[in-house]
Amino acid sequence: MAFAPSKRRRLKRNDDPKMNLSSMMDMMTIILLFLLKSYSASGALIKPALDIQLPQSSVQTEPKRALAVVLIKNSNFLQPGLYLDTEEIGDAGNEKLPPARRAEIANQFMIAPMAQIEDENTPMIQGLYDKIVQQQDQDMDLGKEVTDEMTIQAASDIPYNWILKITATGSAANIATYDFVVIKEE
Amino acid sequence: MAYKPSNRAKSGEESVEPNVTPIMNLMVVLIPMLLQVAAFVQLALLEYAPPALDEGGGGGGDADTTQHEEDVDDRPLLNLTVNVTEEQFEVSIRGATSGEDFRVIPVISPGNYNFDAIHDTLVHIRQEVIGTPLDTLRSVDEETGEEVLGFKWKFKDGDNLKIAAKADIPWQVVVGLLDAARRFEDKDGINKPLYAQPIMGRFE
Repeated sequence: MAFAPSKRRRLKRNDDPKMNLSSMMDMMTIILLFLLKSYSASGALIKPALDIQLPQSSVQTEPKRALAVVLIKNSNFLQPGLYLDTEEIGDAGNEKLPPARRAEIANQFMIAPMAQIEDENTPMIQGLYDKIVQQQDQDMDLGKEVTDEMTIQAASDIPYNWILKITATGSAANIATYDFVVIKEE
Repeated sequence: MAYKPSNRAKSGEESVEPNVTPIMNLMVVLIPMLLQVAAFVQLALLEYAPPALDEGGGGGGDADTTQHEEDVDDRPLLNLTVNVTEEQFEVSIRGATSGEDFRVIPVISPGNYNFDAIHDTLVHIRQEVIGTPLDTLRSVDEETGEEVLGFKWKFKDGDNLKIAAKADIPWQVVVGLLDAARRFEDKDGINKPLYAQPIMGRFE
C-alpha cells in the first residue's frame, strides 16, 4: 500500500511561477525619467551633418527651420562642396545602399563643388545663388513668405573665407539672417 | 472541545502584487521611441544679421534714425575693429594702428587664442570708452511689429563691432570671438548685451 501524501505536498500551491519584475520596473523608470529629461523636440529639427565637427558656442538659440546648407570639407561619404541639408542626404552615408546610389544622392543635393567655393576670382558661389533664387521663386509661386534666412552647417576648421563667401552670396540674393549651427557649450 | 483551526486561517494574509505587465509594455514602447528622438548633442544657432547692402557696409547708426536725423547726427564714429591673424587679436578704435587706441592680444600658443583677454578688452571699451547710454530708443520691427528697445550711445556706431579675420583663420576662432563679444556681466552682476551688431569682414 502506498504511503499517504505528506501534508506539505497536499498544501503545496499549484500557482504558476511568476517572474519578479520589480527590479526591471525600477530600471525602466529611471531610464524613462532620464530620457524625458534629455528629450528635446527642437533638437530634432536639425541633425548634425555627416561626420563634420561643428564649432562650439555659448549661444542658446533653439534651432528652427530655414533654407539649410552644409559645407563639407573632409568627409568619408561626400565630395568636398556645398550641399543642401535635407533628411535624405544622410543616405549618402548609408553603407547598406550600393555606392552608385549613394553617389547619385550626393550629386542630387550638391549645390556647388569645392572649386566654386575656393575660386578667389569670384566673390560669389553661383550654385548657391541659383539655389536661393530658385527657392524664393518657389515660395512666391506657393504664396509663402519669401525665404530670407539661411541655416549653415560648417565644421569648426572651415576657413573663414568660405563663410564670408557664403554670406556674400546670400546677401546678393536678399538673405537677411544667417543661422550657423553650433554645439551648445555646457 | 474547540475545533482545529483551518489551514487557510493558519496560512496568514497573502501579499498582493500589482500586475506590472501593462506598465512594462508601455515602457518597452516609450523607451525606444525616446531613444530614437532624443537629441544628445545639443545644437544651437548662432544668428548673424549683416547690415543690408544699402546701409553702406554697416557704418553705424541707431535702428530708428531717419535720413534727416542721420544728416544732423554729429556724434563721432568709434570704428571698433578686431583683426584676427594667426598670431594675435588686434583691437583698434578710431582706426588706430598704434598707441593707446590699439591693443594686441597674442595667442597663448599656436592656434590657442586668448578669448578671456579679448572679452575683458571689449568690456573695458564698452564701459570706459563708450560709457553709459545717452538715451533709450524705441522702434518697431517692420516684420514682426514688435517694439524694439535700443540705446543711443556717445558714438554713432556704439553697438557695432567689426570682425576682420584673415582668410584661412578657422571658423571656430571667429565663433569664439563672436561669443566673447556677445554679452557681459556689469558691476552689479547683470547680464547685458556687449556688441549687438557684429559685422564680419575680411582682413587683408
